[in-house]
Amino acid sequence: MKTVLSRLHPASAFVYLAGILIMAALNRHPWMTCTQLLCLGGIYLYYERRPGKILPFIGIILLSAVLNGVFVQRGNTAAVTAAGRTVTAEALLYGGNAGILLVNVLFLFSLWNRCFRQEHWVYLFGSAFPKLGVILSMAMNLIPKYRKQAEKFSNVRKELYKESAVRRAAAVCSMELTWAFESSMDQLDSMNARGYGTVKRSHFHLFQFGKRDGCFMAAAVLLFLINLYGFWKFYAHFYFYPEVRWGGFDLKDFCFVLCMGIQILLPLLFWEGGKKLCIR
Amino acid sequence: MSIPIVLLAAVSCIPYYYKYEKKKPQTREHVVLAVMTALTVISRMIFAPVPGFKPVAAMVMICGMAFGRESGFLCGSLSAFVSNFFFGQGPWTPFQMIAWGSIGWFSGMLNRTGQMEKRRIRTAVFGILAGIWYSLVMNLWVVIGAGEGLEWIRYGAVFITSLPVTAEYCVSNVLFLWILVPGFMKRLNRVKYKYGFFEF
Amino acid sequence: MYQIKHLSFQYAMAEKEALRDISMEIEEGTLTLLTGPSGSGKSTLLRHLKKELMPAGRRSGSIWYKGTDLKQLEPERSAAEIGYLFQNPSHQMVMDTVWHEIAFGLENLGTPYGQMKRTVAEIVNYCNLQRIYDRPVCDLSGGEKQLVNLAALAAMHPKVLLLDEPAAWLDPAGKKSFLAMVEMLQKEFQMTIVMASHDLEDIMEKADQCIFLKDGQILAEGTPVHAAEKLWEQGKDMEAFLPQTIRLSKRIKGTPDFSMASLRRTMQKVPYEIIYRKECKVSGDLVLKVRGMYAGCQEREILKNFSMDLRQGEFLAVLGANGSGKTTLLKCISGQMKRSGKVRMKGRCAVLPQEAELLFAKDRLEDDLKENMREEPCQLEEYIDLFGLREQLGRHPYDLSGGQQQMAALIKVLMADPDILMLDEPTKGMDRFHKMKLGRILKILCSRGKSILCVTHDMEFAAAFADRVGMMFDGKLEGMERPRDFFTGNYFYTTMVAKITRDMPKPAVLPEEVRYL
Repeated sequence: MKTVLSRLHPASAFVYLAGILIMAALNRHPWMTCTQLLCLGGIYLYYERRPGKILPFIGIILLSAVLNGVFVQRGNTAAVTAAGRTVTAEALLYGGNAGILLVNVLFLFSLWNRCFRQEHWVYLFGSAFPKLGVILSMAMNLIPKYRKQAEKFSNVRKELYKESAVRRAAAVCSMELTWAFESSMDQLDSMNARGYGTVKRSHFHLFQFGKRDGCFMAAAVLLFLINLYGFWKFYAHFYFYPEVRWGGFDLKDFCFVLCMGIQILLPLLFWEGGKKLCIR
Repeated sequence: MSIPIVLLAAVSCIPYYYKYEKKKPQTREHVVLAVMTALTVISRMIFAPVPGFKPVAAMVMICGMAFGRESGFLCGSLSAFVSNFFFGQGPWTPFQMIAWGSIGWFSGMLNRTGQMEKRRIRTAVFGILAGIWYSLVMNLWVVIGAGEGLEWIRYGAVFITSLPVTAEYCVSNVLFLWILVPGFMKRLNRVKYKYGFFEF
Repeated sequence: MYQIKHLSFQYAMAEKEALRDISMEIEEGTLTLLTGPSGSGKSTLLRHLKKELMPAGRRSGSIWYKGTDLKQLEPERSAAEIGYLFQNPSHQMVMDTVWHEIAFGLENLGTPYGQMKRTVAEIVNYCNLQRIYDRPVCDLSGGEKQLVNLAALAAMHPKVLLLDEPAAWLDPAGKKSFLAMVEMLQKEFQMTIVMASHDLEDIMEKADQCIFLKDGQILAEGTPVHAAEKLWEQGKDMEAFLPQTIRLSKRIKGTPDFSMASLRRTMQKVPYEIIYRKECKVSGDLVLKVRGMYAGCQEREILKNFSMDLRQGEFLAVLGANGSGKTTLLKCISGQMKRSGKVRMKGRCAVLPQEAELLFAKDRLEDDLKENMREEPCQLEEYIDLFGLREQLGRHPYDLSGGQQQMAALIKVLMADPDILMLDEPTKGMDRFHKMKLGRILKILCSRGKSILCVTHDMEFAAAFADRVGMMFDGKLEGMERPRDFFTGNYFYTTMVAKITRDMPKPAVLPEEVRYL
């Protein structure tokens, strides 16, 4: 999954991930949210390898359910009555569903951060906004440089002077600031010398948009549109209050749940196979 | 109800970015922006172990004050985006981008009329306002993440529960502004003088 | 290629002219060497050859590039045809990865994607960057960085390369591969190369034209031999800038000669005597005693069973190639790095880091030197005079020249009142004038009872000033003898003069020791 996504062209991977994000944010219908939870949670577990890691997320869902149940008094079916307050089943369900929504988004971003490296972001951002992309790349060059330099400053002072940590930190900050601006002058000269800003820039990158990327993107868009249609036609109007009305599970529902599952697990269809790739 | 707000937050930086792309590039501005962004990200990394207590807003405000609202906005929003390469992107990214960006923009606006660097009380007040503003924006996503829509009562409740954190933001802003502004201004003046930066 | 007519220039805030009435011509496809002591206007002149980098100030005279006035040159053409390489390898890098850095100039020129990719691929293969092309630039060594910078310039297909002290920050290995690449570009593509450098060793004989500047004026120009001849006539101060072979050949032949073979033949014929530098055995107390020190990680131990003694008032030089563990040694003794073994030290030690910038914390040199002082103020005043920094006290430390920065950093370290002074590559980027001055000051410090442990690549410096010399090998010190014995005993790893005089009855180490009878 991760290998497939990080080998794809960033644009394809982005379209796929953004599609899931929108679906995860839109859908309220329990069948859809639960399908997403199963698929995304499965992916999360596969990469984390430790079942215990999922506990906090279950915690979020339960907490959300309980909080909503305690504070919201709507709904017709009483589940528990305690201390003069009635907790309705609808409110519990609603809260749980909201928790699942949140957890879905968190799972999705964990996958996103796993397969999207810094260069993917820089590339995407740079193709959308070329000038800001340059600034982004420059900042990415400077950050590790500044970090290393700060460490050097700190080491030299630690070795030479006996001073309190606070004073040293202040001195290092001040030195770093001076150094950062002084050293940026060479960078400015070097950019001017290489003709920055003379003509319209082109954008260089090492990503190639191949047939595979096209297919993947088309599939991701198609599945997204199908699911969007499903949402708009059938699943947008689902209410928990005053009571949950299940419409029953028929073939149409089965198809859309399947579609949602495929949309999320799409990279598996594009997996090249091979044993070596499975091992991280 | 919540979806449009998320989308709004996500795309709200785009028109501004687009406007910036249309301008003729100034190499000096770009270099300063890159340096300020990198320094801001570093400052967030240094204080990563302390939740909430970050010099980021103060740095962004200084950038806005020294180099104008445009640089302030870009420094704030880019710093949020770039620092999340290291801390992990999430649904909070667009909100951080817009929150810090707007703080930078406003400090640029305010400094146009008065000398921010000399009026330390005003700077401090602005630091407090910026802390509250940041908290207001960031609470949005908490509310949206947890509920059906944006309900004012819920928003108010979240705001009240997050008061301690808000106070922390404000205190850190004022503190860092107090410490950083004089040092920064001295150095920036040298840079401006020596290399003929920003001759307006 | 270039024609400069009566160029004079004065910086906006300066009282003196930085360049005075310079007239010269640069032929296409040649290598021109701009040289002179630091502060002589080399960089100022070099910057005048590129439109975008001309400094602000008052200028008179004219500069012509291929028949057009340089000021009238179109920006695209100037960017593509004239490449400029800066001294500091890392400050001039713009992008975050090597491939992006190489493509940066091409992007600026709006080159179409396909063509750009082809060029980058070519350059990566031509310059042997396959192993590092996708790495972040911050992971590279100084030598690799400078090669990438050169490759990034070459990718734009320049006609002229202007190199500003390109090798001053590099270690010998990096310097060698960098110069080889420059030579290749000149030979294979007829690029015109103008290099500013105060270090003439290994470079001078390759140049087609040498221009020696002093105080903004041309002191000597012409072919290397011709320029050397002229420079020699200027007296002892200027003669010190010449490479070792020239200094030796002038002493025994009277004419400059770059060829080691012909020098060796001459030396065998002519009578000469050798006046060795006075080397006295230091017999002070033991201030540093290291026995059985280990450092590094389990898989790769950098120091193995390392032992060493340092006496009071002794100047000990440790030589060694890159990665032999010299810097690790300093870090271990000063306690910055974990070590095991016995280290017994009398008094305090302090390290002078390679980059002087690491020590400057204040905006004025005077305030900076007074920061965290442990010595008496009168001591500081004395050091300021000794190091010749009195006139610079009001300036910003970053505005000083490289040599002056190093001196100021040394004062700062001395103000912490160390008994053992540890120097990491103190001569890096210094011209020979400053090197000699530094050496003399270090000797004075030794005579006052400080002990010095200096790790360096600079064999000439070690030969001229150290009391004992050793080289790092296998995590231990090898050799550890008086400089004379060490350098005449070595076959490969030794000074130029020792290589030449090796098989002769009277081997020498430095050109100054040889006297024609």
